Amino acid sequence: MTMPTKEQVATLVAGAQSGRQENVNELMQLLYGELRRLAASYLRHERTGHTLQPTALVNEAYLRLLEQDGTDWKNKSHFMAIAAQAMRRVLVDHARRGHAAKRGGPLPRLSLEEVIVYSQEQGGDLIALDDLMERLSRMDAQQGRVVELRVFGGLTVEEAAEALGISPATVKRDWSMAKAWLAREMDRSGSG
Amino acid sequence: MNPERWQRVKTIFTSALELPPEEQLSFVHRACGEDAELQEEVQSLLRYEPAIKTVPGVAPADGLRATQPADQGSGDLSASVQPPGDVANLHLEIDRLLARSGSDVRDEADDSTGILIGTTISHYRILKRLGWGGIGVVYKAEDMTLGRYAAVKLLADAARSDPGALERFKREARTASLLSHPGICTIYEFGEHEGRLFLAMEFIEGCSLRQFPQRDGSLESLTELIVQAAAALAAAHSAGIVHRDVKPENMMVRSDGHLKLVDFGLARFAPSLPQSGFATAPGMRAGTLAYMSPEQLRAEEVSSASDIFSLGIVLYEFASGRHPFVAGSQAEISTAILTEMPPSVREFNPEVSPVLNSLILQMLHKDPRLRPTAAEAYAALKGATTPSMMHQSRASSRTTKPGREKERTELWKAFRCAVKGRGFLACFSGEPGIGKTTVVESFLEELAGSGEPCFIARGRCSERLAGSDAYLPMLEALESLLRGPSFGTATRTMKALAPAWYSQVAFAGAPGVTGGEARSTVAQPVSQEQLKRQLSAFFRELSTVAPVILFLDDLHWADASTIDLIAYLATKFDQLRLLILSTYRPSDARLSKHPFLSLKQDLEGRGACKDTELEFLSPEEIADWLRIEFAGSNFPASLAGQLHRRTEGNPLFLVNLVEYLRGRSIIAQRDGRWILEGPIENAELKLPSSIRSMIARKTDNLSEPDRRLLITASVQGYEFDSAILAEVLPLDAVEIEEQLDVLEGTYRLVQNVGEMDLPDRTASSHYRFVHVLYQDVFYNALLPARRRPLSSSVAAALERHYGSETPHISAQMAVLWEAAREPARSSHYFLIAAQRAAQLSAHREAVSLSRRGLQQLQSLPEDAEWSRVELSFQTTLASSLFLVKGYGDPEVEPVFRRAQELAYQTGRTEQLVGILRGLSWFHETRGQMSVGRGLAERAAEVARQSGDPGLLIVSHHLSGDISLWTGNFVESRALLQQGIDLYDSERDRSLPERFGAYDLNVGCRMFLAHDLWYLGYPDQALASVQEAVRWAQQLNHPYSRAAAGTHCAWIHVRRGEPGMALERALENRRFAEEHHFPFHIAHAKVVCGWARSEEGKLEQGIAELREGIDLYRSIGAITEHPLMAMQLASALVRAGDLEAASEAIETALTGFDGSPLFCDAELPRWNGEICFVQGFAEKAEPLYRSALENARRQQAKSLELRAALGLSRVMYAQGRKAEARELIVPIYSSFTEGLNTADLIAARNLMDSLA
Repeated sequence: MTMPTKEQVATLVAGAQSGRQENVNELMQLLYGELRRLAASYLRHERTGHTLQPTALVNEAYLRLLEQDGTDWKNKSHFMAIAAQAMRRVLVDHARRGHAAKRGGPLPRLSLEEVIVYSQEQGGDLIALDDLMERLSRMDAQQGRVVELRVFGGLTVEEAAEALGISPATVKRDWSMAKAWLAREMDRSGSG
Repeated sequence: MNPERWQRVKTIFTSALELPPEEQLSFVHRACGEDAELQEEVQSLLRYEPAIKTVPGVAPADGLRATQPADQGSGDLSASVQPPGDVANLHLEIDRLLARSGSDVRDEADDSTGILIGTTISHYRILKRLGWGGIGVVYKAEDMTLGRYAAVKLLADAARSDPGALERFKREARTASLLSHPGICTIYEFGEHEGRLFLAMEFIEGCSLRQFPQRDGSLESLTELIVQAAAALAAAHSAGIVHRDVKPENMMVRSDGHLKLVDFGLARFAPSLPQSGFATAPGMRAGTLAYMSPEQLRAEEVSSASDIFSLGIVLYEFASGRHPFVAGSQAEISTAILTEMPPSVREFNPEVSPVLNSLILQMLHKDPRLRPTAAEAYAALKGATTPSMMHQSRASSRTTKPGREKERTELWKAFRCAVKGRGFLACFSGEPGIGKTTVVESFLEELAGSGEPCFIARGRCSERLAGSDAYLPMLEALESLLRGPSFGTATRTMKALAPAWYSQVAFAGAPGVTGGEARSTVAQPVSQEQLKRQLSAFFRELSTVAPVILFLDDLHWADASTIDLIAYLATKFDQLRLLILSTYRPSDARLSKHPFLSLKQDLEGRGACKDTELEFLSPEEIADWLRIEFAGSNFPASLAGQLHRRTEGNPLFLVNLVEYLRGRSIIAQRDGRWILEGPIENAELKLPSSIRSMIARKTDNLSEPDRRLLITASVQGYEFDSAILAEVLPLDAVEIEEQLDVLEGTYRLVQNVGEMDLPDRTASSHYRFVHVLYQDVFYNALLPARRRPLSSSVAAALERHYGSETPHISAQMAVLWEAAREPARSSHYFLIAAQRAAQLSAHREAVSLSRRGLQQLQSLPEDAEWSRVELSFQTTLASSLFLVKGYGDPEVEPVFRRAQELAYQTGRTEQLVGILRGLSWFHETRGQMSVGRGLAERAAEVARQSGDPGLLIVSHHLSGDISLWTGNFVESRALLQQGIDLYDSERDRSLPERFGAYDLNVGCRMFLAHDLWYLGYPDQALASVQEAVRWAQQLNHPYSRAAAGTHCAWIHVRRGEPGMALERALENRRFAEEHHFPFHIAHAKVVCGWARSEEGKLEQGIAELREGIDLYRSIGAITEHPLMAMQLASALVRAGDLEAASEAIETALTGFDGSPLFCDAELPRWNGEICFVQGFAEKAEPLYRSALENARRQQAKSLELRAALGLSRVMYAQGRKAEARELIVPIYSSFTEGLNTADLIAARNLMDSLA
């Protein structure tokens, strides 16, 4: 897939925002690949030991793919919404693969690109978090999105509100309860 | 929980949050009404959302989930790690919710800095104070733009007042922020906040290196961390940045094991504190004195070498457990740092390798120029190269080097001289192979490991190019300097001061030189004078940095110009810290009238040279070397002497001989101990080619008559007699002795041992070859066609002179006749030799001699005479083989069968008893009891027919033996007693000679002991076996001693006396190993194993038991296996491994032919025990009963008692006390002795509890 221009990406984002599913899918695919690549190159060039900052990656992906001149506030949040999802998928996919090895399954052969540095424990956290977020989403899809945007996209309350098309107050409420619930559930399951 | 409910929860939760805390609970209660579950749900969530905020914007304390609490400040500038990166943001939030860390919300105002928790500096929100240090305060903060943690350091006010400081700081921080390395804490930014400087940097979670040893104090981990630190420093240094404050507090170890250096270059921005009497340089702080380098203390210019010094101190601390400069006051510490050399790390921790020790000491060198760079330290720690200025030793340290203490001392003395500033020439001379080069190389290796700074250059003189190529060895030496790790210094110096030399060397392809550069320096021709002057200047300059050692090997091949050079350098000795080490061969030098000799003399006269001639090693030195080289060995004391004789103390030959013996397994390791497996006299030595050529050179120059003489001598052997040679050659005896004297004096090929007349009073002198390798060379020089007649002549001559004394040299005679192709005569002597060997209990020799003899017999026609001879061979072979290999070894049987065949053939039926016994034992040992019994009966018949009391004793013993192991204790006892009664100590002590194995009195008594024990007389049993031991000692017959020892140990086992059993078994084991009786080694191991497990050392005991059993079975033995298996089972039951115990019992009878056995009353009992322990009492009972029945049948009271004990316990457990009592009491009462043995004590205890 040739790299789309920034204009093309902007169109995709707008389309996704308007609800065009095929645009959403295309964007997801683009972002998934881009973020994975970024993560791998980040680690290739950085020496080991640096912690991977998903939000930094997402920001970088944004800069590469979308930003034209100055910060396009509106587009950014929509972009980030999907990017956050993609980022989450990248991390969780990897963690699950790594985790499978821990459970004794066959050790998957990770290609160089796929090597993302997480300790097994962190992988476990991530999977636990992912599972919890799934459960949360089933109760309240919007709340789940809020958490995803904030955790994996690093969006602020305002940005998240914009991305989801709701009021910041709602975001705050959703976020506040979700946090408490996540904290409690993680505590209970003994993870972390 | 469904979505609707969820929404309710959400609503109530968020509403509650809006209320003040005291109203929240009641609100929730009202809102939930009857729904207790809902209430619980909301309330639990509220617990995770503390609503209390005393100060707006202040976050409650954040404890990271399940992470180590960050350092508690107090002078420690620790920083914490970014939490697991993936959920950084969530943690950020969740952290605020969890109050795990226990620290609560407080207004954390700090007087000196006045920053409130919760305020914002730039885009960092201050979360928590982490600590303070000389520079300022450190906080943990949230980077609000990027959403990650950071550490924010706020500099103390004092820095503000100095505008210059501010500028410096900014410059420094800018540079430091460019550093991007995994080992360096990244600086994000710096700026000013309300007039104060702040620094935002990576937040590292973990602990400082100061605290790390609490987590993991192993030297490996700590070294690994220092490696990382070195790498970080290397990166910084190459960017021109010096840390200036390397110490454990500034080295953070993250939870994933990564180390990060913090506070780069910032030390100078700390406010200086007043120090009494000290110049307060910026950066000096109380308490951090301990890591400062000398130049820092002197407030001099600080370089990257300073960091190395500090790192060296850290490494020293970790490696040795203490600070290198320990003193009372700060003043004293400073003095120590400035002037004293720290003690070697190995003094405090001997496990530290010499290489590491030397690296550390180098890092702590007072002169910064001499310290390794960070990159070098990194490489050295990684093990890639040796530290700067230390050569890799070329000497192979495969084996330790024998002797040479004196020489070593000389070398060190010379070195010290050089260090002090006086140049010296130290020479080592000696024969080839005596170890001159080795002595020097060992010293250089030791020097390298000592940490003493020095330069080492090596050059070797070549025989091939001897005298031709000028200066070759010196060029080689210079090149070695350039190639070495210190090539930087050497290259620079050489280029500058000795360019003519440099061009020669560099042109030869030294590293760091490009072709163009080299060519450009090959220029003007240079005079000899100039060359000398340049070299001298070079050495002078180099030696100001560190003393230089120049090693020139084999100087007797050096060219004249090199000697000239040395002479010149010697004149400058007072200015040069140069130690020249050289080796040479005096005879070669003398022969060629080498100029070196006059130079040496000259210098010796002036006291600038010392020549040490290496001597051959003494037997004591060889013994010492053996002790070190083969630690824990069980060599006979005579080995050192033997080796000395064979090699005349020549170290090269010694090492080669030992290597050879090792390769042939004549010196071998058994069970982790070194022992001598066979005689070394008969070992045919193959010469390694280097020695061969060396000897060849020596012998090439001999005249023909000399060669003939020596060849003939070599035929007689390693040692020879002049009279014999005179007869064989033939030559006049006096002439021969003269010739030999010359050969001794000039060539050192032979040695006069002394006058030793032959048995027929013929005058003669005894000689020997200087070492056996020479004999070998001459012997091999002999054409096979010549060997025959020559051997024959020598043998005949010996016979003539020895007459009836020939048996004394039977082995020599046998070999000679063998070489002379006279099988009849040689086999005759082989038989004598073999029998003598067997008599002396040299069973291995007896085996090999018998075999060789038999081989000789092959070439003879089979007739009655030869059959008799063969029979003798076979019986001798068989008896010795029995002992050397063990009774059940498959090698043994064919020999006995053949002997049996021959005995019938030749009608020598008196041999039959012994042979039949051998076969009977063979089968018995392998579990074929009925075959064994049959053979024993045959033997008894033959013995009866002969009426010979000796034979009768043998057969009684044999039959008693078989009866014992087949469980007929009563019969066995009677038979053995008969044997004992018949035994006459005078007449019958020679029985082992006739029949092999052990003395019969010993044999009968030791088996009788078993019978007595079985039949219920444990004290009599002990007495009997102890008598056996005593008698065996009196006879001093090794095999009898071993056998008696074995059975004595077993009786102790039976009586339940682990302490005594262990003592006896250990002693016996050593004895059996020394004499190599594998059968008894196996027994000893089993008993030791049992005893140890009785004493509680289960793992060790069980391992030993298994070892013993494996060894026992590996030599084909089976009979006593059940006995051993039961001890193993006992230990396994103790250890709780019932499955293994079961298995041991089950497999105990494999290999037996189904005949009744001694253990028939015991194995079922063991099965019962295991069942009982497992809790299956019902299954146990019938097993015990069966054991009881068998025991009664065998009349084995002791076994009956044991079975009864087991059964009683079952009954007791089932409450059938009366039954139990009825069972035990009669049996116990029938015992008349042994009331203090374990079983009877146990019985008494049981009876007490049943009462």
